[in-house]
Amino acid sequence: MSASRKLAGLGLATVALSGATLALRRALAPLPMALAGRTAVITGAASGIGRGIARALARQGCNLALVDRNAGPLEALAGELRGGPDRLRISTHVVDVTDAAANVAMRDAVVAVHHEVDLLFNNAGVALGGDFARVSAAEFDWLLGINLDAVVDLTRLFLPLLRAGDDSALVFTSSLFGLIAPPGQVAYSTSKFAVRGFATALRGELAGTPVSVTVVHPGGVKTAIARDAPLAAALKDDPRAARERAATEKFLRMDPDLAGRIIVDAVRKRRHRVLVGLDAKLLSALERASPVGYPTVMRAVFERASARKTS
Amino acid sequence: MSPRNVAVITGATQRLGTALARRLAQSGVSLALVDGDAGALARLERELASNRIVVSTHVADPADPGAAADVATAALAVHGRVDQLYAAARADADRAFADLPAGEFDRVMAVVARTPIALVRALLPSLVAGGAGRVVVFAERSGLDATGAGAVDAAAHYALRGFASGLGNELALSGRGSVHVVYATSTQPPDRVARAAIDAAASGRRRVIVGGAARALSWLDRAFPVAQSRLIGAAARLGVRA
Repeated sequence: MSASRKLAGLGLATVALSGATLALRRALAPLPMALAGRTAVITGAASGIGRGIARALARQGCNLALVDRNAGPLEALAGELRGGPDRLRISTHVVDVTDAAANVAMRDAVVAVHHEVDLLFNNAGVALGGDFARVSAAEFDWLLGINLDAVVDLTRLFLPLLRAGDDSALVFTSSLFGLIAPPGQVAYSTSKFAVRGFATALRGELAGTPVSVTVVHPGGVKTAIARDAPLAAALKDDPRAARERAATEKFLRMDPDLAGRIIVDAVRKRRHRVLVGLDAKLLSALERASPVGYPTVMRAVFERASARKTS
Repeated sequence: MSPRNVAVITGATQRLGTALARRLAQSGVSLALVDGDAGALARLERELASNRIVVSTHVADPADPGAAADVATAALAVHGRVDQLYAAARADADRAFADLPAGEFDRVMAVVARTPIALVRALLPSLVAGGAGRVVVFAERSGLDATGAGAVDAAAHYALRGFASGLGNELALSGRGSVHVVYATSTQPPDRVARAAIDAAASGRRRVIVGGAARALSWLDRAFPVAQSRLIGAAARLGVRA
């Protein structure tokens, strides 16, 4: 009798505690951001997650400055979004984000069209396949230039505009590989860990200003990033590398438009970080449980899954 | 340790680098000391010189990744092999992003991440040739949890952490070497950090957290990844309201 009573008491306490925690979280959670009539700059907007973000923002009535190096797909997207019911202001900017002077000109062009900027999505990024020993210094630098240096450069350029607003957001597309660092992705993990560290520290620096910071860790999203990723020149004729790439592509499953909706919803709620997809959530938890042992577990699961498929 | 064991130490005349050099020299490891300060480097070489070990010095700007290949070539020319690399050069950069001039990001990234990465690239063939090469990097406190750190400092140390984890995972597959990441708050005595780093390289521990404060920070970050930044944000909002 007393044992079951104790158990019931414990259960009740647990429920009460979780209820209190939830209530506290609700009370501390800031009001969601109203996106209608705001202006967002999105880099890498012409395809993949960037296009998903653009479509999700347009649905919320947000004006857009779309930035990409590929003019054709960029104009196609702008045409699609201009056709919507909200008469949104959509501008396009064909820019290589590693060109610092072009970034300044782009910022000025954005201001000339939109007058203000409320959200910056640092989303443009590239991948590169190959073991560290076979990736050249030039290839490694090329990736860091796009995935990190350009992100820092654009953040510096747009931060004064964001701070001048009354309610702004700075969003960084990191990666699942900004949380875990599997073999064959050293350059990519270097850049995506750096973006995560930069975003997290910047959030602290911007506490008390109108700028909230969200860092995004997408798992496997069905985008062209892996297919477009150059293989390290030293690996071009390696059949193992081609097999690994094919295996990687199988894990890119989530619809990028769904990823865009998840990201925009998280930004609206001022979430500090968002893990996009079950794979990102599970592997992030695994890394936290076992910061050194996670690759061994991943490999065991992966090998078991491949064995089941072939048998 | 075998007397033929050779370690490269960057930032050798800074406090951590010197502590590493003294400890390794005591245990009979030959040293290639790398630093930007030629005078201090010469003094350290005189202090450590003995007939038990070979000590070489290499003057190189820690903010110039392009110099790493030459340092590696020179060190290999003197010693013939390299078994351990301690990338201990530091960049003091704990300032807010908004206050930093544009070039400062490049300098910090070079000292903390790009130059160590370039040096690892140049030394990797020699490090894995012996079958048990050791790379030791120092991701400090800002690489453990960026909350409350300077944004540029955090970006560079997280870059180093991502690099070291990824390369460590690749080397673990081949079994020919290992990468060790040391996290320590700046209040830790350099000699304690040096001892922990050398012990990790000897024992094979890949992730080393020095000191109770850093360990607590690590557990908190693993258990509640956004709790700290939530608290800072909530405090700032309450402060704004009050």
